[in-house]
Amino acid sequence: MASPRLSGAAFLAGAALAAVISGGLVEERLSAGSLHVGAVVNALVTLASILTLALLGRRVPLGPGVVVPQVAGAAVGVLLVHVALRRGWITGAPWLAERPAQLVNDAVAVFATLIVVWACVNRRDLRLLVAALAIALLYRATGRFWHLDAAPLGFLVTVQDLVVAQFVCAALALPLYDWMTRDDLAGWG
Amino acid sequence: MTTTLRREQSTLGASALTLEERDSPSPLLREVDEAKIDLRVAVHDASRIEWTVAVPLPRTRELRYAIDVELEIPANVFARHTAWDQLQSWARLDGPTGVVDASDSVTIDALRRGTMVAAHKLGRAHEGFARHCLLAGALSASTPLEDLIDKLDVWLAVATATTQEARARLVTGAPSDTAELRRERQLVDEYVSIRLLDTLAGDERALSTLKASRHAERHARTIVAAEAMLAEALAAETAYRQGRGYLCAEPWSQVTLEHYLERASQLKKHFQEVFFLEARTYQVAERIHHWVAAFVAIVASTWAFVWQITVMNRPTTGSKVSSGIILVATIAGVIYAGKDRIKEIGRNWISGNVHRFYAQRVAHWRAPARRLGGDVVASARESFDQTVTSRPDPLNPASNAAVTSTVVHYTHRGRVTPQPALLASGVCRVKHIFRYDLSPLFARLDDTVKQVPVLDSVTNRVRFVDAPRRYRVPIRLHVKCGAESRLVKAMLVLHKNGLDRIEDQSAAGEALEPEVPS
Repeated sequence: MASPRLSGAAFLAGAALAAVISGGLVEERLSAGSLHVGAVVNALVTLASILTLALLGRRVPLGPGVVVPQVAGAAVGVLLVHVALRRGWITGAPWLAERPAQLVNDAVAVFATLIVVWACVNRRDLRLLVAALAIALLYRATGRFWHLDAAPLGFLVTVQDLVVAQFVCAALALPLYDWMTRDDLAGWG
Repeated sequence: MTTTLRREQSTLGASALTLEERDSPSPLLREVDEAKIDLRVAVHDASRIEWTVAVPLPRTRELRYAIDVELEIPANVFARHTAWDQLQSWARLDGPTGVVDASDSVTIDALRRGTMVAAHKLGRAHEGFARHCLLAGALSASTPLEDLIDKLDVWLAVATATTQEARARLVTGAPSDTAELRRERQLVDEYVSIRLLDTLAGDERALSTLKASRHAERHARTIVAAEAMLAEALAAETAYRQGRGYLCAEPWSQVTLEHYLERASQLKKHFQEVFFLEARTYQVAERIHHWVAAFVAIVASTWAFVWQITVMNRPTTGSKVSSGIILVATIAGVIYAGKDRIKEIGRNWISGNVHRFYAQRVAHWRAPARRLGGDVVASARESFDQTVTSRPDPLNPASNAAVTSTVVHYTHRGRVTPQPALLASGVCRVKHIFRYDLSPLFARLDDTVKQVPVLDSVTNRVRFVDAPRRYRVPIRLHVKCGAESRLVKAMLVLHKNGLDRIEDQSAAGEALEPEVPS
């Protein structure tokens, strides 16, 4: 049973991770798919994912006391970014059309990443990794039919590309980090 | 003798320590300066060497100091071991004063501090006694006979007077004492008694050294008189213990002796605890390896991101998706295959290099919270390094033959912060105590005794005699503190069953004292 303090930390970590991912997607759209921006966003998302994993990794058996607040926090994080976008607090691309479909991009990116985090917390649970992979592939196969941003000169990296690439990188980086830190530490130092 | 003893009691104190210093230039007689660094190397027990370094507590500005210890272990003796597992270290406050103070809020703590001061004085009394015995037995000694007995008498008087004073000030209770305080006073009495017995025992050992010297015959009457004084003091103290119901060491009972030692150890820990600083240490590699792993993961992620985007910008959707899956599978496979190697390389790199940039271990020592609110008194960055060195074979240095050895190098870069409250209470130094367990080496050593053939002059035949097989490990302890620098060079002698002794490299058999490096 997770303590209220841990549940609160899980909520905040979920919100922070979602804000980084969602904010990164917005920044990528604002930059019309710049590869440099995408690389920086990816690095930041990877770091945020690692911090979330480090927060949970050695402290919890995964359960509702952690997952539910983390999902709630992630939802709040995504909504905050989109509220900021709709209210005009984030500006810079007049051609950018903010629609409800954008939430799907963020939801897939955030929850696929969170599932990878949970898989690593759960001793690299293969079922969770496969589930995250299925979500990403389904999204990649269908995304172009229901949402595409239109930039004046087109996108080098579309939002769909970024979401899938981020998932692939998270699925690579998080188990790598987990491998390097989870086992016995007797040899360190 | 007793008359002399009583007469000298009135002149006890710091002046007694300097009675002999002007008579001899020997470094063994130097006066201990509490405001300077002090360092010692000794054999602690059968498997551990101990080095202690006391650095002064600064009055105004932070004081930086450096400790370097090198053990040069010959290749045939060296066995691989993890240095940190073998090292124990403590830090404690050190000072000659600080007796019960009206400003002390915790009276039991003040009693314990006062007890440690008395114990410190008893230790000094023994050192003085032993120094005079050592001087009188030295090769070049010319101590007048009357002088020696007088001085031994003085040091014995210092010990008994210190005990009486401690009992008067610390043991005699007041009607308002609480039950805890009365209990503590009883413990003080018992511990002071044990320390007095230790002092007397140490004095007896010092006399034995004198008896074994070439001047034994000359000092025979003095030795007999001093032994009588010691026996008298021992009998008086034993009677006191019996009268108070304290555990006494009964020579015919192993169980009682065991309990006596255990009790003495418990009391020592109980009282010393008041001076020990609370240590907080962490291994830097354990702290940073998460960040190193995160850095590696981010680098891998960035690399994969660029590759992924490149693959996704291929012309057909089918190739994008399939290539992405193949990419994930390939990268995951490569990482899985190489993960142990990656981890091993990472660990080795961190553990082998972190001390070059920072330190392997960081330690902070805080004053007990009940005394100073947990202020950090000292902190240090520590590292171990092992290098293999090769020197010309001393048997024939010009022959190009070489002997190899492993140098275990311990470095300690520390700083002490000013603590006016501690200074005011009489604390003048922070003493670091290190013990290094060399038992991993013993398995590599040859038997303790080897047989050597000799010609028997009576039978004119070969016979075999037992010869001790010993190994030698050079030790260097260097301490730099502000403008002051001290160096101790020593030779550790060990054998299969443990550590035998430690010798000053320049004068075997003498106690180790620091020298100022040129």
